[in-house]
Amino acid sequence: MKKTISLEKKIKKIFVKIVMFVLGKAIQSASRWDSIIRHETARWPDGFIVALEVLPWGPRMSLKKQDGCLKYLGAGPGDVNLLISFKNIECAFLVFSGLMGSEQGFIEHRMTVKGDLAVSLSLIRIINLIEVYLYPGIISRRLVKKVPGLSMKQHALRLYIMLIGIPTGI
Amino acid sequence: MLPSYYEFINPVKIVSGNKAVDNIPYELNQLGVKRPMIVTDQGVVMAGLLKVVENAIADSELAIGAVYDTTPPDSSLEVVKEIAGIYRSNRCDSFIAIGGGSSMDTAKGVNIAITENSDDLSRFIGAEMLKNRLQPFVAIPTTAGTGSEVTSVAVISDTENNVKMPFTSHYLLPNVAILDPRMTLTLPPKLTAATAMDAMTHAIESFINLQKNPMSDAYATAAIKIIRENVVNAVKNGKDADTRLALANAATMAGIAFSNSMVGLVHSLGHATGGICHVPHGIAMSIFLPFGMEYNLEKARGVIGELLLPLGGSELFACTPKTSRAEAAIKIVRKLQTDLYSFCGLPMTLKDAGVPRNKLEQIAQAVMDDGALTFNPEAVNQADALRVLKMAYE
Ligand SMILES: [Fe+2]
Repeated sequence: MKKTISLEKKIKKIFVKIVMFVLGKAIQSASRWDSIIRHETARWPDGFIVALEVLPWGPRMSLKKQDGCLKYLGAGPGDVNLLISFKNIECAFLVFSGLMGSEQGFIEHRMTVKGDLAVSLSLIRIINLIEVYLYPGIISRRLVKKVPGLSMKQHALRLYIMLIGIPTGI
Repeated sequence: MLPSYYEFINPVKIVSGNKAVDNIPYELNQLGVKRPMIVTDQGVVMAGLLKVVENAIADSELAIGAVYDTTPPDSSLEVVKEIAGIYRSNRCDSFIAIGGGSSMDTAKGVNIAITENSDDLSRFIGAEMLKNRLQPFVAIPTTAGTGSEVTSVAVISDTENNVKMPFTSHYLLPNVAILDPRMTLTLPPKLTAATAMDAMTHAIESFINLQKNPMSDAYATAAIKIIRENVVNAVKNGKDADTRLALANAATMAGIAFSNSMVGLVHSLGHATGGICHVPHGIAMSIFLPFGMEYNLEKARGVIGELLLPLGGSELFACTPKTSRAEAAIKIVRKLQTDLYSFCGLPMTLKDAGVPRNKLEQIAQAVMDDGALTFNPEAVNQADALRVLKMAYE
């Protein structure tokens, strides 16, 4: 029987792909400037690659620890150190559209983890912080257990990431 | 209220009752194997429990392929390698693990090494790294606590690099768990209390935490009620077989509960304290449990209050106003703590448990690396963890 993927799912895949790009660039940029993220990644081994993918055919994004920062690799290589797989596009859409926090995604088994669990926790903390940067408070309060109060420096960084970080990755 | 989505799995066959161990030949026959390897420790041998299993197998067509009876309390990579060699050279085809957490974890580790035909377990560290169904596995717990007989987790120490290697995979779930009161009759009072408090913590944390679901709730509340009703008697009258079997059942139910809805802050604190100061897991659980409940009061007051029913019984539950049930539930856990302290000297503070005060900072830091925090209702940062550690200190 010929299989047709519904238009709705196709649109959701494109949406997730775009959010992955934005998230990847935002993490790359923030990992250079944000002390909390630098503190988190300090303990990741150099060259460590983490990928987030949607089963079974993507989209997919990867980040590599390089020179103390995280570099966005696009879809990235097949062989990675930590692989977080969303079970299907519906699961991924919930998390990437901001309807559900990444921790809640784990709690609801929306994704599976292959590899080092301690690094996956560290990654969740990073994504939580990025979500606080990217979303207005009214949304981020639903996504993370506790929204940290941002310092003046962090407010500035938030603007920087949105205006310069995401377009350029610097 | 139902969670918007959840998952639950427990494929382990539970065989419970007096002389249940004598069903091993039947169960292994059902699994299609003939030469089990027994993995156990010296404590089990000394208590005459290995003999019980050997007697059961002697009267059957099974042959014991090999016995490894010197599993150390902290299962290590070297031991796994050694046992895997014995397993291969004796052409065994299945595992019987007898003991507390360590024998079971070690046997699970060996099972990975055998099935993947590789002594390099580091390739399989983490979640869902196993690709193949493992060899048939029968678990016989000799403490009523860890719940390892129904969990998909194994922790093996890499003593060379001084790290603990966690493995989780649904393939690590044993095929059969055998609960026979004979296997826990000789457990000393203090160990009985500590392991029961570990089981109690599994049940309470799984009921409070964010991954709770109706299936795990049912197991958790049933376990709490049984532990509450039996733990003191098990400490005072260790030879009471009914009490022992009840506790063994409760520990297994609590194991099924937390295997499906995870644990929280209490376990994160316990893992970190155990890792750094070698406080036995059950003792750490007993010390931290009321603090963990208190810490989550704001976010989980309702569900903590519901625990008053299994913890305190229907009468107390009915005459306690809804608004103060959570505090009443915590009070009962504290009372249980003092009872166990007076009956068998179970430590109530970190100081009693031999933790040096100057280690608290280091423990708080290690807490942040523990996966259980994700499932805790209230957010936890390092300063929060340190605050709880200080409260639990003396
Ligand atoms: Fe435990």
